[in-house]
Amino acid sequence: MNLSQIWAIVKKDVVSELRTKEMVVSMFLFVMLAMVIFNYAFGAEKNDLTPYAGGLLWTAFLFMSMLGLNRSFVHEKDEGCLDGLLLSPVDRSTILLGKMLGNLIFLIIVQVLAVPVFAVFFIEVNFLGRLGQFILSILLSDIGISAVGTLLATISINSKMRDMLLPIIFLPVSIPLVIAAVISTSGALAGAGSPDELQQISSAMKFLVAYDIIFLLVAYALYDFVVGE
Amino acid sequence: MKAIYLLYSLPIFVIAGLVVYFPTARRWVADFFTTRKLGVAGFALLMVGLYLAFFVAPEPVVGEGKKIFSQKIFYYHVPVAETSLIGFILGAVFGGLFLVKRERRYDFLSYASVEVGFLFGLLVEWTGVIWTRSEWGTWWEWEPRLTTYLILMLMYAGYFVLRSAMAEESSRARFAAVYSIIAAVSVPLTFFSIRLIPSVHPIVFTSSGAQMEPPMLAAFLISMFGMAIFSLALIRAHYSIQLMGEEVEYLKDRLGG
Amino acid sequence: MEFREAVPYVVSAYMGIWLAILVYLLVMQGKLTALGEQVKLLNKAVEKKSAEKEPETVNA
Repeated sequence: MNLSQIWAIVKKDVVSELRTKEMVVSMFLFVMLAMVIFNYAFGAEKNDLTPYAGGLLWTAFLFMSMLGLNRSFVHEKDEGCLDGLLLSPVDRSTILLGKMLGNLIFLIIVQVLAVPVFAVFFIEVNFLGRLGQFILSILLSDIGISAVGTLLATISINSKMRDMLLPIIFLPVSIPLVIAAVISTSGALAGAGSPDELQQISSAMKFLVAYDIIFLLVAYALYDFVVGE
Repeated sequence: MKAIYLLYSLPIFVIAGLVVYFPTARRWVADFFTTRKLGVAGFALLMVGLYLAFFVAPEPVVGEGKKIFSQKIFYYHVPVAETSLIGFILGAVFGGLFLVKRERRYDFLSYASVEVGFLFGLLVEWTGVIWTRSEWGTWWEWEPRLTTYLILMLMYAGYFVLRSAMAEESSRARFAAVYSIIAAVSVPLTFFSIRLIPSVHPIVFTSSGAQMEPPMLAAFLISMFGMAIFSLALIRAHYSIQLMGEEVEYLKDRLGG
Repeated sequence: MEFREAVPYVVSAYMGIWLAILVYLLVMQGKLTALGEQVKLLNKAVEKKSAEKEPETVNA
């Protein structure tokens, strides 16, 4: 494993994205549209949705992340780029980490754009004091999503169903992550009322860390078998 | 308390590991424990368990002498649940063996284990739903254990979709093995993540609690062993079907070429 | 819940389990017989083919 090699793969993704900008733009628009739909689906004009904000946020982010994961591998597959990567003298794990970091970066870019809009739309309390906690919980969840997602997107892109397969295998595996992410993000947005809630939020954060570590290791161990052959 | 059970089951894992490691022992075990023997033994144990559950074990009493007959569901509910977990774990173990050894039979075994695990998982949902209906009066309750199983079922349904979505035989086996490992890793994670949310319903019966009387425990354990052995028979039967399918393919190849 | 009310639930739970297992076994049995027949037919065909082929190789 080599940092400059990983960086080269990340840079390749970022440069090609900067040329077209199609992925980030469509992901951002997807999140915006999801917010508008949430407004009408849950009657945000009448109700204060702050307690459910974590859930809404992660519903939008989860589906948005799938859009990006698919896109990043459809490119690779269609233009024979993955074969090129496999032919180049780099480890399979380097490819995994490179693709994973690329996906993570796009996820974070979209979230940086979307979260302020989301806060303005749906959150009626001041959570700036808990901003660190909020960012930490989102980052931890992002790492898990990109680890599992990169692994499973590589599988799904090699199937006959291609991008149809990803939701079916990615969503159930990511449910534990979403549960913990919703608890910790909602906690950061609404603030913890009782010691019990505080306890729950901290155990959700610990769970996120455990999930990230476990699936980073699993992805690292299994990527050899997933990619090419 | 639970750690002690784990300690007791350790020799079983050690023996199983040794058997898998030594080819002669493996062949001997495979020849001795035929599908038929396993099936008959499992079925007999399950029948004994059924008898103990209904005619020997007392009904638990809650509150002022109120007996709960629907608790009898648990004598099969819990064994079915544990058996399905065994199926998923075996699926991941055989998947890992496939990835390391690249022998087709491990793929067959992994597929068979996951399928039997899935079947038993559906039965967990079935019995669980009936229990919630009889005791809480609703068909579906977001109760942690049932919800965990729902998620597991959805996850392993993805396994079958994944298998059928692969065009080539070799990549199907490889990706299925990888996914069976990912899913098995996800099982405990799902279990713990559901428990991050405090449950609304009190747990009336714990499967391993102090309130269990000896005859109840005996009925549980016998059904548990019976179900596990029976599921091994199902896995072997499924495996032999796939071996036969392989033979058909081979014969077709010979005929064509 | 009274004993009388609980009986149908308990019975349906157990019946469901055994029915599902029975159906699964029947399906497997069906697959097994179908495959067995195929194997038999294919074996015959293979034998026939090899019997046809042999004289040719002898003549050559």
